[in-house]
Amino acid sequence: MIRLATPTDGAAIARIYNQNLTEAGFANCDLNPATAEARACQIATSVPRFPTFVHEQDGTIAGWSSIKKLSARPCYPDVGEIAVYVDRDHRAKLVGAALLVHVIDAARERGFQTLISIILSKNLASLRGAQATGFQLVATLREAAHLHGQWIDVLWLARDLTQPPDERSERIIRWVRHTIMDAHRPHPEAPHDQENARS
Amino acid sequence: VGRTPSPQFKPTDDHPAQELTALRAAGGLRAAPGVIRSAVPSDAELMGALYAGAINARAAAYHQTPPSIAEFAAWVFDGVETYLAIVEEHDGCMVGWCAIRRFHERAAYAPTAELYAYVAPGGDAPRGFELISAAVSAARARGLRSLIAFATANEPLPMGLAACLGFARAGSLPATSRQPAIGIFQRLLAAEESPP
Repeated sequence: MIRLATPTDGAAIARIYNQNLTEAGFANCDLNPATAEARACQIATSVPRFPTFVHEQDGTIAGWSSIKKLSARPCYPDVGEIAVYVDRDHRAKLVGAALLVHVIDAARERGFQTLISIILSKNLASLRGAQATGFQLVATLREAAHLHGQWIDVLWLARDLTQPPDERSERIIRWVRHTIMDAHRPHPEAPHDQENARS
Repeated sequence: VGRTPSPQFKPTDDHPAQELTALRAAGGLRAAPGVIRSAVPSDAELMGALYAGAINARAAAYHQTPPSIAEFAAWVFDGVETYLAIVEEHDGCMVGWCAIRRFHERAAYAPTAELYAYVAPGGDAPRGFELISAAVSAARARGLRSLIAFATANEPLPMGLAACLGFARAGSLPATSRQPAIGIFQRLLAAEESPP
């Protein structure tokens, strides 16, 4: 079940976010761990236009997603930046795909025209997930981040919410929606899971 | 990077007309036709007016609506977020300003900064070349690895400046009903360093 996050989800959200640090992963450019208190406060003070969602499974938070202002240009009112993170124990189970499709729908409902997903070039799972759901590469910032001793390209992918996605993406999205409604039943043609999706 | 339409700037006498010795020491500063100097808080009003013109022209500014002078001063003179702020004067009139600010709050982005430049139109040649050149030199001297600049895709001046100043197109933000497409440019300073 995907639902709006509440402040009590702050600890789970921070825990999942911090897995990237402990794994020395390439999900984002943060080098400082998130705290439960800060996340709870963020959720408590958030406005409906910029929500955080959690994916709850059997009482456990398996992942979360959010829409926020575009970090590099927060003044652009029609552009949102999304994040999707999946608990390491729930990856490759369509949690990320469900969250991604859900957050795209949520952004459209909130009137956003463009969604941006900022993905580090080494984060192939997120890249595949974004492209599968209609995001297209719009910018490559070469070696813009220095992470774990490596210079990393930062990719900006955009999804035009005023237009339908390409046919393949539309099929995938329909399939994910159907699968979500069908309690995330495993499927041999499942798209790659969205492990984590923002830098 | 933006161009402000038709401002009428008055000279002020409280600008210390000091040149940036640090920039000269860093090398690469061309002989400017005007004076390029560090911005000081008392420049905020004129800088803010240039900036407001760019915002009203939807020229890829950071803000959507012009900030107050106090808000602008707090933004551009933030010692943590802003690495450099310089202005260019011609005959005592401010014709442009340029700042290099942190690109993103997350730590792994620290080697990358964003360049902001706003110049008034005027003269036969586009302004801003010397100003941006000085800022780029300062960025290199500071050890930054790359600079990002945003410019509206349909404005020839910033696009030309970007091309002349070694910025390559990194991509663009699509247009929406309320904003034009925004070009994203990058200059990778590290690639310009001489091999040992």
